[in-house]
Parts: sequence; structure tokens; C-alpha cells
Amino acid sequence: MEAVLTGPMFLDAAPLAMPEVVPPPSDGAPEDAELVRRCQEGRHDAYETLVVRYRGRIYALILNMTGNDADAWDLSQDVFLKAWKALPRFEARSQFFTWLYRIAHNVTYDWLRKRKIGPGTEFDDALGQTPAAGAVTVPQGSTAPDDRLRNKEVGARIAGALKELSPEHRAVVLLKEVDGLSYQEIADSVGCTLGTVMSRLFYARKRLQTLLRDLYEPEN
Amino acid sequence: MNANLPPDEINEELMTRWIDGHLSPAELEAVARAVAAEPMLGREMESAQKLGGLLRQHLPAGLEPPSPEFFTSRIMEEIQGVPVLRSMRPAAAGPRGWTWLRSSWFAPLASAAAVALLFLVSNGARPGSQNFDVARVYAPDPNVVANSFYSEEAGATVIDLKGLQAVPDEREIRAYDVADAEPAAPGKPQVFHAANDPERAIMVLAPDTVDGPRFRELHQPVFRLPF
Repeated sequence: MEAVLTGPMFLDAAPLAMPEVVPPPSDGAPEDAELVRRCQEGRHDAYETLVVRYRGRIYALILNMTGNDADAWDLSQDVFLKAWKALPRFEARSQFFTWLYRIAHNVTYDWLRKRKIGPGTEFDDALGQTPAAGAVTVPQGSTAPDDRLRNKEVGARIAGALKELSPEHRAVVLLKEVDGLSYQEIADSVGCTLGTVMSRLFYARKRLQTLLRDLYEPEN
Repeated sequence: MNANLPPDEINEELMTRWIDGHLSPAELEAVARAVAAEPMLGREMESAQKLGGLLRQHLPAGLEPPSPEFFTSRIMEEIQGVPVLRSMRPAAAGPRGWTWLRSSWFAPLASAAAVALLFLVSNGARPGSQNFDVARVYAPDPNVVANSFYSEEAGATVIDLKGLQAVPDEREIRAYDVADAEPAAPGKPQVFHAANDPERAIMVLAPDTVDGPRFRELHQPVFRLPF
């Protein structure tokens, strides 16, 4: 694991509010490792618990990667089916969720590659029908129409900017900024070195800053 | 760590760890001195942190898939060897078959009328025959119990729904009455025609190239509600 060194943030920057990747089970359900062990004994009920625990994260990750909810739904199904088939070979060298993220990354990457999606290429004909990112996260009943419209516009801008990145760069920046994974967890998830993770993260951020700076620094 | 770090030595790795708050106190002090010499570095770091905030604000880290119970049950049935339809998408870039099941209007439809979703496994069969087989009936509303059976008397497969809420009178429901279908042949799609317009094909069940039938809706959903 990488050393996470804490200290006062430079230039009075606000502390990073990283989401907690895998909160401990709050329903008294067993930890991942125990559930995995039961799965490897053929216990379907244990796998159902894991599916329920991680379906939201996997679906959101793939939705952010593909920009299409129908594709994200189908690909998420594939992820869990592949994971079940591969579970007998899972040796717990990494955490279950990073192993699952890796399957999700591979499934999504393969799909993107087959679709020949690259910079400047439309993702999907149905992309316009997909709720914009901002519209997904903001409860519709609690925001004014102007805010919802604004969120929708920002979500569309973000989705468009992410499309400008390669799948490799897109995955790394999403896993870091949205899923809050550590560098090592990202490396495990996408199958590359720590140095590659940081390099991709650096260039992905630079590109997104160029494309989105006016959204968070309107004075510029 | 060099205590007097030149600005041009703040490389990708150091900059990245700086943005993410992973520098040691000694590294932070050295970076602070570099920023004093080159203030643009500090602005870039702040900009990257604001970018992260923007992404976290607008992109979900966790989001339940539409019809989450169905999502899970479909996986569980698949891994237990129960045949389910793996993919029902039409070819090429057109709208996906069954996408309407996951569309935004489906949730209110499900809760209001608890319309059962029928997954038809075509074994070279046609409606109204003994071979017509309903592999699974799924009702998204947990208050609704859905069962199917073949009625010799009616000569049809019957879907029995218990627990449905009354449908308001003002809600318009139209359904196609499928009266006829071309005989099924191995590897060939089966075309269903409307009862009131035998020339009009309204649905196709086509064998998937891999492992299941593929549904293609030609015109409109079987149920059409004015949402």
C-alpha cells in the first residue's frame, strides 16, 4: 500500500472530501473476505449479498465510463457474471472490490475498444437520451428548475470532456476523483504500475482543466 | 527531498501527490518554496483540486441500476443455470430492444399498474400452441405475485397477476392483440402480426446467434400509457 502522508494542505486549499470507497457493512452482513470464501464453496446467497453491495458502484463506474445507462446496465451484468465464474481463481491477493473493479475495467475497456470510441467520437446514438451526470446526482425534488438545468448542462459538459480522454486516462481519473481509490488500488484495478497511474492522472487532469476550467473558475 | 526544490523539478508524480494531499511535511515545505518562486504552480494545484470537486459533485460514485432487484435476480438466475435472455438488443446502432423496460417511464408504470414483464423463450413455438413457453414472469412491484400456466381450455398461456392496484379510468391502455405468427423455423425469426391488421407485423422473436431469443419491437410497446 502506498504511504498516505497527512499534513496541512498547502495554500489553504480545502481538504479533499474523498468518498469512502467501501464502507463497512452496516446491516450486520459479513465482510467481503468471508462472503468470497462462502462463494468459493458454491454459496449463491453469499454472492447475492456481494452483488447487492457492489452493484451501485459498478453500475456508476461503468455509466461514467460509457455515458449510456442501458449499456452500463448490460455491462454491469456481464461484470458480475464474469466475476462469479472467476471467483474460484480469486486468491485474495487484492481486495475483492479492486478485483471486481478490474473486471469492470476490462469489460468496459473491451466494449469501448470494440465500439472504436476515441477522442472526438460519439459514444452512442442514445447518448443524448442518457440523463446528464448532474441530473443523476441531484435529487429532482430539492432543486429549483434553474439549478436542475444548470446541473444538466454541467453534467453534459463533463461527459463531453471525459469523452475527449482515452479510456485509460478516463478510468484513472474517475477511479481517483469519483471513487476515491488510492494509487495502489487504481493500479490493481486497471493493471498498471503506480508510476503509470500518476502519469495518467496528471495528464487527464491537465486535459480536463483545459476543457472545464470555466465551470469552476468562471472569473478565468 | 531537496529542501530548495527548483520549480522545474516538480514533476508529474510530485504534482499529482501534491494535489491529492499525499506529500510529507518535508516535501510540502520544499514545494512551498518552489511555489514562492513560481506562483503559477500554486494556481495549477488549486485548479486541479477544484476540478476534483466538480467531478465529485456531478458524477455518482454509487448509483443503483434501474430495477435493482431485477438486476440482481437476473444475475442469480444466470449463475444457477436458469436460462435467461442474455441480450435482446437489435442489430447496429438503433435503439436497443427492451431498453424501454429500463426507461424512466417504466418505474411509475411498474408501481402504478405492476405490469408484468414477460420473457418468452422461443422453442420453435407460436402463441396458442402447447409449445408456447413462458420461461419467467417478472413483476417489478413486490406487492404483485405473477404466475403463468398453460390453459388447455383457452388454448393459451395465461399470466395470472395478484395484487394489482386498480388502474385509473382516465389512463389509456392499449394493447396489441397478437393473432397470428409465421411458423417458427430453426434459426429463423418469427414474426407476429396484429389481429386487426394481419398485414402489419408488430413483433419479431429472433434466435440470438449465441444462446437465446432476441426480441425486436417493430412499432410500439405492447402497453402504451400516457405518461
